[in-house]
Amino acid sequence: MIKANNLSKSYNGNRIFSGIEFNVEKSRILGVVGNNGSGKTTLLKIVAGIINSDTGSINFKEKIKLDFLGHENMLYQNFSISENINFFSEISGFKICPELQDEIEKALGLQNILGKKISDLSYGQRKKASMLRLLISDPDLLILDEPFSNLDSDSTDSFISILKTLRESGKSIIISSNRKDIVGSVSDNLLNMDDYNE
Amino acid sequence: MNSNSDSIIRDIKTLFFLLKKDLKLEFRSLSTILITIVFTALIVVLFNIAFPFGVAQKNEIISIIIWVVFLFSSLIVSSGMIELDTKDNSLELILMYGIKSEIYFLSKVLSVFTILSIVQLTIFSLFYVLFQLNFQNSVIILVAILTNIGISSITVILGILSVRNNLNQNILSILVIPFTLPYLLGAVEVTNQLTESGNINYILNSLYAIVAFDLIFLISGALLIGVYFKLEK
Repeated sequence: MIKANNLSKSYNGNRIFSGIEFNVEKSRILGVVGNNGSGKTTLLKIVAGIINSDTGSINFKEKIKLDFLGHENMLYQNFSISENINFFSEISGFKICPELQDEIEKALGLQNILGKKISDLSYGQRKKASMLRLLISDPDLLILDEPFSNLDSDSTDSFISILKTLRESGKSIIISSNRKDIVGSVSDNLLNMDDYNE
Repeated sequence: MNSNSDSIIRDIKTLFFLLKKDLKLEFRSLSTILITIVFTALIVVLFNIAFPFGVAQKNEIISIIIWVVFLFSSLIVSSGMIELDTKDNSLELILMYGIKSEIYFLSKVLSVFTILSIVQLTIFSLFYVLFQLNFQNSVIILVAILTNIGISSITVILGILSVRNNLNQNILSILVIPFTLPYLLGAVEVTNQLTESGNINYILNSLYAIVAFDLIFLISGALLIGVYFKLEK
């Protein structure tokens, strides 16, 4: 589905990583692990097309739809969950499938707080709201940057079970975290960024 | 329908969605509008107190005050509008979804223009009450609209560059002056003529200059922001 060759990136003359290569096939999860500052977020943003790499390339075997869940929740704090979802569906052009939306809202436990403003939600709820925004767009490849950070164990478990369901339904996922134990338990392959730092 | 017209319709819709989002967020919090109105009203009132009535060239001085105040108001509004997207990094999503940088720029100019026009309506009435200026000539509305377009464009360009680079907001007020000085001189001249004589024959050349500057700011802004977002990648 996606193949990365010889990716490298520097900031202000400092090489963050170099020589990264990986494949992600359909229905597979690639875990990206590494210490803070090892370039996990940068790599995921390169895959998402938000930033460019200095060298190398990313080749998609077919035309796929991808979406990105960042470190920050990337939602408008003064909008409710529903308003955020509507706005991003409007500008990205994806059509919301009501059945899929119901299913994901139930899975994430958000049905009763869809009208609440993001600023009024707890950290975990905001994370779930971001996940809802991402899942409703029904991407083929999900790029998740640190989705488990600051989540309690129940929320982490429910996220892991959602990821497994998504994999079974044919989605490919790239997920980053500095918690190797959690990412390792759900990933088919692991990419350790510490091996590519200079 | 061919792909070109499809693309244009899609761009217009996107522009509308981005503008609707900005205005909805702003009218919900009213933070930028209120701060700007308080800031401009305070300056106008202070000038009214400090300004001796009957002074020669009163209209000229007030015309200068009007546009300098609106220029700095536009800086506040631009920063507020751009921060809506940069605060939680939703701008990255907007760009990832393939929204053209030109469309993003135009949507911001329209948002700033709309908010600034609301501020202007409030403040013009204050000018009318405090300085007894004659705004009865309806051409002043055209001048305000045209000048707002230019001011909004230039402050959005500088706002995006400074917010994305974490530059100190104060630097905006320094950068904006050399860019807008020739433009503002035209607006001041036109406003002065309209409030003094109301004769539009004297102001046609200045009006054309304002329109020319508007086009330059809009086109160069759209191109510059496109290049900037590409380089930033």
